[in-house]
Amino acid sequence: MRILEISVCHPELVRGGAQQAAYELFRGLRDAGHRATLLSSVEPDVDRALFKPGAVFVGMDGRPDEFLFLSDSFDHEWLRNLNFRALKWFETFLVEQNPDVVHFHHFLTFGLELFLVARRALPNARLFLTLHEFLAICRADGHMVRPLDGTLCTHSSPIRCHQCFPEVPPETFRMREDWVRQAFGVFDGFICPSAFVKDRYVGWGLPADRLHVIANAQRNYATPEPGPAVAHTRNRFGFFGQLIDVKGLRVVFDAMRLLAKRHAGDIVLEINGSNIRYATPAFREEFTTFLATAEAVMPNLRVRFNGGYAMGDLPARMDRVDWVLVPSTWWEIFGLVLSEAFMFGRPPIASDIGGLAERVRHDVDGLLVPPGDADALAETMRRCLTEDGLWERLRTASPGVAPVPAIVAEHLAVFAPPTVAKRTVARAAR
Amino acid sequence: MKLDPSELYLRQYPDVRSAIDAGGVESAEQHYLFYGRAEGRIWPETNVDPIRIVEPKPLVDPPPGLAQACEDVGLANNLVSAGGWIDDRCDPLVGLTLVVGDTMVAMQFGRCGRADVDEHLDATSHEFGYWAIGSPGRSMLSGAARLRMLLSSGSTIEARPGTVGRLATKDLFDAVLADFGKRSVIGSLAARSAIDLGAGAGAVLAEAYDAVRATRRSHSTCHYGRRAATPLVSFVCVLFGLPFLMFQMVARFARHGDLGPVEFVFVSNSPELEEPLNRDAEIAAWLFGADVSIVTMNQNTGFGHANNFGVGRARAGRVCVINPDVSPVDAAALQATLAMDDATLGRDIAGGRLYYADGTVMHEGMYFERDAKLSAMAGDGVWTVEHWRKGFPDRPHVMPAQVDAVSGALMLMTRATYDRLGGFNEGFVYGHYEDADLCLRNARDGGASRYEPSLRYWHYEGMGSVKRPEHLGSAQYNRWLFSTLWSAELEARAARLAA
Repeated sequence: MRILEISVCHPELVRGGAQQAAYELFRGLRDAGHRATLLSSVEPDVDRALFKPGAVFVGMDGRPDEFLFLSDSFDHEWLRNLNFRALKWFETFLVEQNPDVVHFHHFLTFGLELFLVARRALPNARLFLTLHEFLAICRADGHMVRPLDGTLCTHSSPIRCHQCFPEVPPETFRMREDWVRQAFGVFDGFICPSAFVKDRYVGWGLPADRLHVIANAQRNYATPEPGPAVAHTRNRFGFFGQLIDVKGLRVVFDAMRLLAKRHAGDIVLEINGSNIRYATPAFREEFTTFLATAEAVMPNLRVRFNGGYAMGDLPARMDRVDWVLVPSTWWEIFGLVLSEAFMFGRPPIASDIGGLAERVRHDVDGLLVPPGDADALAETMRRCLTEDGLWERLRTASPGVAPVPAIVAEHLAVFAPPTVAKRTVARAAR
Repeated sequence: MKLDPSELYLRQYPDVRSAIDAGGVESAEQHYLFYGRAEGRIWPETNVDPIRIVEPKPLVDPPPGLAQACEDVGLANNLVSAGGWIDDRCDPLVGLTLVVGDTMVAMQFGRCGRADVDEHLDATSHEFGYWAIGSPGRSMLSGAARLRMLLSSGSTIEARPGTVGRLATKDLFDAVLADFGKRSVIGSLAARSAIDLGAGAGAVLAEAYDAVRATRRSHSTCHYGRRAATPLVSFVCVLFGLPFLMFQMVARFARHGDLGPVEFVFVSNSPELEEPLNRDAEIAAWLFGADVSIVTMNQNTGFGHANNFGVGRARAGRVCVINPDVSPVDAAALQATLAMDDATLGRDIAGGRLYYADGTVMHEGMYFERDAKLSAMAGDGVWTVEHWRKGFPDRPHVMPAQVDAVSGALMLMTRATYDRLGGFNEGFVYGHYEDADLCLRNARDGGASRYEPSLRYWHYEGMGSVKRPEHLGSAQYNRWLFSTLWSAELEARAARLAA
């Protein structure tokens, strides 16, 4: 099968769960003998040197079947691509590639027009979209956290969205939704990394029978199996992920202040992540201040910021921690970091929310805490520091990560053309 | 040196001297008594040396910043304006003349509240502010400006303006409208506006607007997409700000069918959006298989002029005037629009069943209503346009009906009807009431306004264009103009119906 995977960004240029999942799937498809091509978008602010005059596409370091889509005209307001040349060359690229399946991961950075162009260029191809967040539903970066008051949002409506963006009239949100639905109308199916995502999009109005729950593909970087645990005080907490507001580091900072008072022994916090340029100025300042002052204020705390990491760095980074903190304050739809924690046998302490709540079995293979509750997080961490046998019990129950070939097989099952009868019903329903 | 008041009067009003020369009146005094006073002209006082500049004497000395009786003067080729305040509680202001160099312009003026003066004088029952406009009737005035104020006692005072701005006519016109629309008055602003406009300010604004209209032209006209030989329907749409609406409108039409039989003619009143609109039009035409034209005007030419310009470039035999925030609800609505041929439409103007974004009814036709309260306060008929069932839930089995008028948000008619009526009345400033005026003229000409429920369209009212300060004043002006044009006919019709 000829499959074109189209991803927001390339994981080696910008770290992120969606692009990591797309890349792993691309490699898995190729390993499974399919003719897979990866097209990753890149924007000028990532690396202007990649942009060649007049080019819309370039290769990715000469790797076979990996290309970059040079996206310089993405309109965040209307999720559009404003570059007519880019659209026309994208159409030509599709026609030349002539894939049986085009699988999009996200539409951020390349625009909803590409969906319409794909259908126009390849009327007989099967088109799919993996829903990596809620940007279709929510203008607030797709997080469904209300700028109005910081509360978690359960559903959108023109008036609710207008409350979050008072300068935008309700009708504009209705028009935005219409536009997204129009672009989504080209797809044969949608991939949801968790049942939670499926439920949310069914609630939004996408037909349930076209939404397929498949976990994100993730190679196991811990192979061979993690070595035997060395006995020591399990006092090392690690954060892995993007350094943006909704990933919840603020909650960790507050929790550490509480924990340092309640627990006399040593505590270690290791922070691993990047992309702080996408965080708010307030968070950036708080992050910098915490790093600069935490150890002086809390003598029993050691804080280390290790910077960003590639997947190949994970073994060394994971070796430095006992627990993985996933304190997200938005509806994490899958939680790549959970996969990373599970594959290295590091029990996660995660927010009881969205895809995290779905994947972590509380007190079995990890611990769940109410999102945004620093006190509860501090208490849970204190339990981790003091409860004998907890770490070993949770680690032993870790589910690890599903083998990539299994995830590939699930995708292929969805990608496969339906029988004639099913296709007729599906088209009629569309 | 003191001048004879008759001589001053004739210098100030050269047309009076012409009338005397022609034998129409005998003297300056006779003209003032029989005509001039009623026309708002000013009889020069004689006790004050006319070239001596004096400041008005308020009852209470004003603090710094409030010391000007004439705060600003605006000068343009076809319009002058002045504004300020005066404490005239003991000797009311009855006339204003703007003197610029050797030219005197009789000003139409009105009063308005000034919170800052109220606070300073600790008085709230008097409108201390004034605004004034006049038609200089010649090119840009030159020389020093002074504002001469005639008080009821017959005394005159002159004041130097705090600032003098020399502006393009359109810029001053917009500034005057903005001030007019937001001024504070004791009582009803709408009623006072009708009074002030009827007393002469309306004529001054109309003359200035004629001059503004004369400066309009198109910047560019660009076509995108395959051009149908002769489209069935030309959708003509005026854009003002908000460029995203053009792309979204074509996209929303494309959801509901092949766009081959139609063309879109967008007329942009925002010259600064020429590039993004043409960029989006190129994409929209290619992506959705649409025939799209973008006409960019050199300024905000208003709803009527822009539509007339766009229809002039439309190629179909049927014209659908449409707002950029309007789009078909479903494929059937688009089909119904295309199916309304010349025979079906005849001489009528068809309007649609329009819905708000939440599905409630926005438009099922319109009717005219005399505003009893405003009419009483204004001392003249003030008419408003009402929508049937606005905001009500939708209802099934609605039949076509003849109505007083249909909304300009969606108007379908033959090109012949549009041409026969001469298009929209461009005397309305920027926008409002042109649709009702067109429907009334059509009715006078034997046509009808028809509500067609099969034309089911969304109307995301409220996001269709940018609101600017001058629109506050133009809304007052247009209501007055509409009432002036149609009050007698609507009164007579109401009387017939009552009988």
